[in-house]
Amino acid sequence: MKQQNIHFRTVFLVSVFLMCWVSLSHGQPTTGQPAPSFTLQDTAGTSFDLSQIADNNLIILYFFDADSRPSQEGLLNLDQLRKQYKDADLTVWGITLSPPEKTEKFLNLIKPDFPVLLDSGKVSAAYQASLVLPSVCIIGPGLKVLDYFQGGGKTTEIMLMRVAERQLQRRQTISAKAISEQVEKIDPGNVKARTVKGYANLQEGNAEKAEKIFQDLAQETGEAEVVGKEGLAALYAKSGKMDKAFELAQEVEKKSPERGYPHVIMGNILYSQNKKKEAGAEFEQAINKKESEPFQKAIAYNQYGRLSAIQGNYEKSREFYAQAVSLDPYFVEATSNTGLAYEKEGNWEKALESYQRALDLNSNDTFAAILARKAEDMLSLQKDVEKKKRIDSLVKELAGRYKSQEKTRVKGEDTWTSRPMVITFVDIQEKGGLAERGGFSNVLASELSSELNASGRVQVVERVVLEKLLEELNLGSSELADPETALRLGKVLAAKLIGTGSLYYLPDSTLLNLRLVDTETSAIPKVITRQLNTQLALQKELHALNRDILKTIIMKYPLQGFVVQVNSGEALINLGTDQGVVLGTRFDVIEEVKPIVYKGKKLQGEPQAVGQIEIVRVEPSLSYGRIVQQTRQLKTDDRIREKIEPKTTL
Amino acid sequence: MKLFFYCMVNFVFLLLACSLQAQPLPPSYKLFPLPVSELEAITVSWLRTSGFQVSELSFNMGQRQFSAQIEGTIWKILLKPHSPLATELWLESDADQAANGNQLAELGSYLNDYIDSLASESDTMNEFVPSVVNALAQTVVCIKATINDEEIQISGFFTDKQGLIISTAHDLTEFHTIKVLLWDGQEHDAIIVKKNPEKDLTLLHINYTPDAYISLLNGRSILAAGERLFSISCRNNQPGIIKAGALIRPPVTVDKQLLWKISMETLHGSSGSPVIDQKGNLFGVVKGKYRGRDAIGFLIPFETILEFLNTI
Repeated sequence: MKQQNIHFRTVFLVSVFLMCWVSLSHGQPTTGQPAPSFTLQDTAGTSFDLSQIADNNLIILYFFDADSRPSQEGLLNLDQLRKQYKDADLTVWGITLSPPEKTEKFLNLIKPDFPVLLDSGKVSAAYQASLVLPSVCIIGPGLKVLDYFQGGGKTTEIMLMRVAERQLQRRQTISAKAISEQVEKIDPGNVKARTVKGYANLQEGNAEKAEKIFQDLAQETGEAEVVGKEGLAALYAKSGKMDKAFELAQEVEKKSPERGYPHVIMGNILYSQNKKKEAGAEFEQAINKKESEPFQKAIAYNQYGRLSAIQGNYEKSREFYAQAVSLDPYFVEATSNTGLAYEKEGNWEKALESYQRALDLNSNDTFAAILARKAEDMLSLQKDVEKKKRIDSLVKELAGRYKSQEKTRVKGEDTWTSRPMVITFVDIQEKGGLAERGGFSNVLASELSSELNASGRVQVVERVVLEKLLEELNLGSSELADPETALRLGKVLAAKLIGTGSLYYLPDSTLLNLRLVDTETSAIPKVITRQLNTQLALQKELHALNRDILKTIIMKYPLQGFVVQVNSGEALINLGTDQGVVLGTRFDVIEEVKPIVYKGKKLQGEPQAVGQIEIVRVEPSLSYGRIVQQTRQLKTDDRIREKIEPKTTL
Repeated sequence: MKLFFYCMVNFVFLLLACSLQAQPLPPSYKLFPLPVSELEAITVSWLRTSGFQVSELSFNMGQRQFSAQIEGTIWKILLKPHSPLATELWLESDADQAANGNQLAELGSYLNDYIDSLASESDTMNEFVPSVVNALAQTVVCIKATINDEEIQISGFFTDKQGLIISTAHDLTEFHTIKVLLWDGQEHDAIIVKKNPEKDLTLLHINYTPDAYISLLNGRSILAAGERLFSISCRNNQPGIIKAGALIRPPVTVDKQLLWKISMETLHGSSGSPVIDQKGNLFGVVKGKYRGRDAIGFLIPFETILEFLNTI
């Protein structure tokens, strides 16, 4: 009887505990849900509204009790971080139910670098942070809950490590390393802290430091050995040591079959070896495995999405990108990849939304900025009925000419005077590894086109015309890889030069091989080979490409024309903005030299400059120039040729 | 030239800074060796990061105009093309404070640093490659050999219209299949016509008629002092990578074979690349790196290539 009674009491107590736990955990902020809004005041009476910091991408709400030691320790850790790393873009708000006088006394002691708000109970209740303190809610982009933790001590370490991981996702490597080091001070040898530090160094390009950290971990046993070897595999893959990376990834897979990240590494390597099917199988395994850090799993989803998009399955790719972003809301690459998938489906509005979201995450993202601009142009074109009609009819005409192999006719018999320099970029193919983000060739062609057009010297065939023409002619990458097809297309578009080539993805950068091909002679006036970095200094690289192309055009295809009139120190020439004349351009006035007859053979020398003109006013078909120098009186019908000025050229 | 720009820019911005202390600025300008779009991008970026509010841009005949405002001070900026590759920056300010002068000087020094960095890049990285050399980029192929399921990649080049390719031999001792990847992405099966491991040369053939090839008729055995050489190689299955360099005298003998030493970046996979002079004449074939150093390579001389082709 007594035993039965004890049994009954135990069941009753467990039930009460479970009911309490359920009621407590019910309503707890959950990942992905909007954070409950609130307005609170600090001890000085200043109001703080959560919605006012909606643009901040990482917010930590720290609910604490001013009297409790675990609460105080956690708060001190966060404060130390805030004070040490002011640039880390980390917003912390403390919230307490403690009486104002106690709170003030505590604050006077530590003088935190962030506001501490007084709560009467409602906000703490909304965040389920009334009973267990400290409670921490980490809020991400769009004021959505990312993580929630309750308790001090060990939980504070876990919370700090999660903040470090989030900082790693945001590419805030300095603070990610600092937080990890702080955790290592509390718990020397903490595996997660050392792992985050290793990946932060890898992200920063400090391969030696990353290798040392991962090697130290790999020499231990258990979890440390696994994550250490995994980190080494990632590092070797990034440095191009594919065999070593693959071997290590296989070793980790055998040791810890539920780890997902080794499959991402193997998938990437297989893809770079053109084994797409095998790569897909690895990515699939990666997303189905149970053991992965969120940032690693997000990468797995993104890579699988990229592969699906390359195979033309845009809807599936968007689903994968969505999973990637839900695991890592700071994943700019996956966010902009979503836009590209929408773009391929013709949904420019949704594409623009995605690019803008990517820009919200990183306003300096050149890729997303260029793609957003292109999407805006496409949307405005859709609304501009007249322009759309004009383009459609132009595309029809061009497609007809392509099919009948008819060249775009050039009027007139004047073979000396330059025609406009028209360029088109045709199919810059993406080869090599599977880049984290797609659309590089689009970004390159769009940006180069807009910079070249801005120079006034060159006209680039409107991207929309080219894309519609390719669609109309049903020409895909494989057809365009044939140089004959590309040249034929260039001729139909009346382009003097076509820009074609490839982007080759290497583990640490991208190799651009861009060829300019003359559509009339098939000669290649310029081959540009450059190692591009997709993240850093991309804009600078694009500027350099623009300069390279312009310089080649001016040197190889200088503008040529005639003097039309000469009036008191000023010359009128038959070239204008239509042909690519810009203010300040200098022209040599040239004259053929008499041939010398030597032993019955006529020797013709190069033409000589007899004057120089600097353009001071330009109109569409003519320009006015100041005569800078002349060795004889300039006259109507004198020939002129554009001159590159070495003094004003890099 | 770098010094010329540096002095000019500093002088103008110093004048601007001094004049600001006394009275509002008269319009002043400076010429920069940058296309208008590039100067606009870096100027706007500096203004924004320095706390200026930059107004909408207006465009007129290739010129860009915008205003930038900070703490009640307005700068009017006009970017006027001087040529497609150079731009004048015109600046007018309504300020008469010394602080504003400091900011102008800062902009000047920022633009200086930018141009300086570009000039040093172009000195080291973007050596002028003659058009003849550029045009020969498509004569180079990637040779992919599979040995025990492992793929290696070296370089080679067409030497006639019949599809004959010269490359090195050291990576082609044992193999299962050999494929040749062309500059336009086409891939062809190759057969070995002739191989000489001592001379480290191989002659391959593919069923393809190239548009261009490197002729053996105008090969060169000696060079003038300081003459530039160019290698065209294949890296990571990407043919057409051009590197410039010069000969290091004297030649060395390795395994009874005479080899040239060259100061030129020698990339992994570049064995078999042609090395040509600035007129496109063949001088040698890349054998490999010198003692693992990326910056120095070994070349098989032109005579050795001829001997190899002339012996059965």
